[in-house]
Amino acid sequence: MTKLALLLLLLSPTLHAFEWGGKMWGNSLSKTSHLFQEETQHNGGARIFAKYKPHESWQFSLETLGYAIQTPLLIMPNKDLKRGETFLEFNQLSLLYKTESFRLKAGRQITSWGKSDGLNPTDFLSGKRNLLLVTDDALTRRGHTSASLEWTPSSGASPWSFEFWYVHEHAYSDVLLNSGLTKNVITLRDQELFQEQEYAFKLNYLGEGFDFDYIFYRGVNKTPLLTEQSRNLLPLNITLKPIHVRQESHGLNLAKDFETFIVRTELAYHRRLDTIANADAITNPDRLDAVVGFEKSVGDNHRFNLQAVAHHYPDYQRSPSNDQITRSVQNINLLLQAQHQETRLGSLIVYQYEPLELNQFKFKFSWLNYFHYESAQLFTPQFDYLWTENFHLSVYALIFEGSSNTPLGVLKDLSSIGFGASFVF
Amino acid sequence: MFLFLLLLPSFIFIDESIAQKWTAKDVMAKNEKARQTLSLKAEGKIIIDGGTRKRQEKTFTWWRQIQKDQIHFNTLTIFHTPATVKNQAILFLESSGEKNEILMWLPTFKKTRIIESSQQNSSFMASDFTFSDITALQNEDYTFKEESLETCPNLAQVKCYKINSALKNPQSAQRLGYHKLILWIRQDNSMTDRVHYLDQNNKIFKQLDTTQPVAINPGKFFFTKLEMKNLTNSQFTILEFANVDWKTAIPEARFYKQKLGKDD
Repeated sequence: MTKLALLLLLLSPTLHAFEWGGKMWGNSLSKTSHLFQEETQHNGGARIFAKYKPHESWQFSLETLGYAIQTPLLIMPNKDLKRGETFLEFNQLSLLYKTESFRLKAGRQITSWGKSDGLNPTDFLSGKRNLLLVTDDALTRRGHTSASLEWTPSSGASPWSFEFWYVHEHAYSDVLLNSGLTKNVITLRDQELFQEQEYAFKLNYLGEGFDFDYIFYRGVNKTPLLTEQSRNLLPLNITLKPIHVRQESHGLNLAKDFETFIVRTELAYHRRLDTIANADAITNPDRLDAVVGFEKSVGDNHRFNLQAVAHHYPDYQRSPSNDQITRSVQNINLLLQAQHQETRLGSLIVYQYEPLELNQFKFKFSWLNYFHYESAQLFTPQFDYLWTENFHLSVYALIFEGSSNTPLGVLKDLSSIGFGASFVF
Repeated sequence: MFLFLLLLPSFIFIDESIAQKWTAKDVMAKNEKARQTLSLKAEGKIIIDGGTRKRQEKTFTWWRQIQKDQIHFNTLTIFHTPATVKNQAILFLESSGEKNEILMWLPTFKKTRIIESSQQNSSFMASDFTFSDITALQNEDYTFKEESLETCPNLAQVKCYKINSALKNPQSAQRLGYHKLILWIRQDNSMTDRVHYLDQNNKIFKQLDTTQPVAINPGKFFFTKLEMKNLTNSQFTILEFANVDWKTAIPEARFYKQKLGKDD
């Protein structure tokens, strides 16, 4: 007994420096066109994080995400999700060292750039697990293997800070292809990763009631281009390989408090360094993305967010091709990369109702609407019931609308309703 | 007997004159001085209960430091439980007038968010306290008026100065969430015993009671138990502090906006 007490006493500083937590979840999504029939996706898993801080200057972080997907709704490179697949990914496995002015972090880590809620055109380093079809950002955001150095002058007191990033293994976003559209015709190969290292420089100023960032980024596009690897005409089968192409981007971020509301805005200009003739649908994919958002809280429970959204290709010309299959591949990329229009204007409206008490329904409604030159929309209503502080039940929907030649409209068949439960610990 | 009757009015007169010696302005100046603790760290707990709602508890670590102007404070709160708010941090930087800043670190989103200044009157972590309730009262923002000297509501053996506090700038009511305060200031240590919050119709809608003071420096005190009652719906929130450490200096960098969330 005395030995145990002594051991606990010796370990107590170590235990005090250690913390952990996580989330377990399970979801079931059913296509609105085939409610409660065979076309239902199930996914579930656990996100576990741990931190060990043996000293004020040092910290070790670990975050793993283990999950399983069983779905006929989507196809994924080299996976047969109908039978179910399990995944184990490290979001974080990093070592942090910091002083008053410097912060050095290396390993697997997650970044979340961009000031606005909703769309973040300047979130250059992140990839998304689109296949999960969940609304929790902490589950969908993918980590990258990188080293970052942050410097804040005047022993950390300066409003200016400078960040330098080297990404050895970049993050990527899952290609979201509707299995119904591509059944038996397209075989997807594994994504080609590690093609390019990434570099980024971020300048940040934190003023009184406002802050802004400028980011320079050189890396790859996170949603890959599909390139043709092989074709078989009888029966028709095209093997596509997703590849990541190089790009350079400049980003600007601004958030300002106007007392009764907040403005958060992001601008990003992407310059593509590579074009692939038989995959790219347009000759010059350089693009400007902009969002300007107004956010306002009403009382303790209600929050509104209105974003104006614009995407523009300054030099827009379709790539000519006489080959029908090449044109088909280009058309898939046209939608995947949202290059079907020279200019797209839209809006994102988000309303959240968050009661302060337990045993209440929480509601979030998000409506992304492109109205200029196209009519395409995505509605995502979500109800959460807070059973206890840790246990939540949810009902949510992903409703895609629009014509089939728009990036959102092409996923119309994917519209689904989901039920889920989560436990946070 | 006749002589006594003759003297009685003069005794009453003398007693009133003693009572009139205090001024609300002086009492509040002493109160401001008594709560000007240089810096302290404490472990806190919020208990939210009452009315029809289910009891909730949140635990946190709390750092507070006076700014160079010796009036305003910087406050940092980092939550530990429940798991849904683990490592969520709120940095409150007080400033003159309407320019207080609130920044929030959201670990799930890995983002620091600026909160609208007008949201200072919104609930602090689902409790009956607002963000502005947990900041220090800035004497410069109020006009004080003497009401009476009476027994303290929370401590029968001590006398309290009852003071009416009106906002100098009526527009501040939007930010603070009230129009007027009635304060009971303890005669023995100049600390606040009770506060009534009044709306635009002079109706009391909230009541704050402070108990269990800890003397942390000569003439300076910190209350380790604060109870806020919402008088309109019987809900209440208890804010408790333990392990109060005022001896260990807190580095100024703890309150730098740039440092918020940098441990995640």
